[in-house]
Amino acid sequence: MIIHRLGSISSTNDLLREMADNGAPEWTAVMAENQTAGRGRMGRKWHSPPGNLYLSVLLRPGMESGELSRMSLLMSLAVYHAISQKGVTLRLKWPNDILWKGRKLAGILLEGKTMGAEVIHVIAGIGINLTMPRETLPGDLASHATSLEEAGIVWSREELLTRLETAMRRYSPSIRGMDWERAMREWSLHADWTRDYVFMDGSRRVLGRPVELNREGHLILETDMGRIPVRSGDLVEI
Amino acid sequence: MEMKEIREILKLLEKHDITDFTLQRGDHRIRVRRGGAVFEREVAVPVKTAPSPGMVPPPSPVEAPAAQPETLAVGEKQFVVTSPIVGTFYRAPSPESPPYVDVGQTVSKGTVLCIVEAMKIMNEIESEVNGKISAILVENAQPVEYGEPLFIIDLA
Repeated sequence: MIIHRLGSISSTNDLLREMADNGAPEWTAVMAENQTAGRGRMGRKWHSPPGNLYLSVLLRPGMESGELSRMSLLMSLAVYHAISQKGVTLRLKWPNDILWKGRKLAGILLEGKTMGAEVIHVIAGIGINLTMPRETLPGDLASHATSLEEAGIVWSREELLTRLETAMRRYSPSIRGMDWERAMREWSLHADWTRDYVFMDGSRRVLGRPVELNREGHLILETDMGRIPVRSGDLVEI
Repeated sequence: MEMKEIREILKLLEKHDITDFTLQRGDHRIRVRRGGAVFEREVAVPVKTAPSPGMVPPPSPVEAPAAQPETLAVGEKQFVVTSPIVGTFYRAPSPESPPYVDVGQTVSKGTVLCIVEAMKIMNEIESEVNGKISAILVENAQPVEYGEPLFIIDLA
């Protein structure tokens, strides 16, 4: 992994995307001290003060467009393993959040580009909260976010980078022998199946409890109307 | 197909000044042609004849045999962009941003047309061809299936 280390930057994903469009090779990475316009999906903000880890990694997985959504579960498994430490229980929330005691420890923003059946690239933006003093968090973030420090995980940033690279390579679909079905079983093992969620997709609101993943990695939700597959949209805790 | 859908299509055709449009779903086909202020609508009865490959709808109102299910009949000089994944269709990168493309806009190979979000992967769909956007077939934030037509591009 070739990591470009920067100070303050608008968004590591945006810069890496420009580099990708200019032909940067797989495993090119951008890391920043802080992001002034850090973001999640659909233009949502990712609070990015100095002191945490903001890393974007360029992947060119040799997969078909139809399989692209697998990256969500694979990359969350990678981040899960990178930050896991003995004695601390972390949980995965579908499709790619890493939680400690129900609060978000790390977030992943995956942005892909496809042309027909071909995947041009995938940018994996990873934000890991190393330290997030509760009093500094804006709005309702304090009840949703947590940090490695708070969870009692003590990896240094350099240790985390090494662990992330190892884990991302292990779960990269371009690695021979990467077994999707096995990865899904492993993901299921680390997920929390005891909470109810409201599934929101467009104007639809459905209450249900996750029960399993289907073959594509979609989440099967048990609801009043029976079992429904969730493949996009948001799961909000009640 | 419901009347509501047909009305939607008619509205879109009028808005974008499209003169000839055919949509096929399974055994049902609707063809709309606009000339002056006159609309002509035909709804096909199920036909079980084998399709002829590469068939283009004839100019007469006579219905051609049904082609494969879920196909959209388009002209020879048109290209249909389909969704490569199951997910949610977005015309812009965020609710506040302008859409990537509009009808009538010229696009080239590599132009980003839309996002299809699947399992929280924001996937930009690039154009495979050079041409002009002739129709946008899906509303913003609607779920799309694998292979579902998203855009029709008039080839340059």
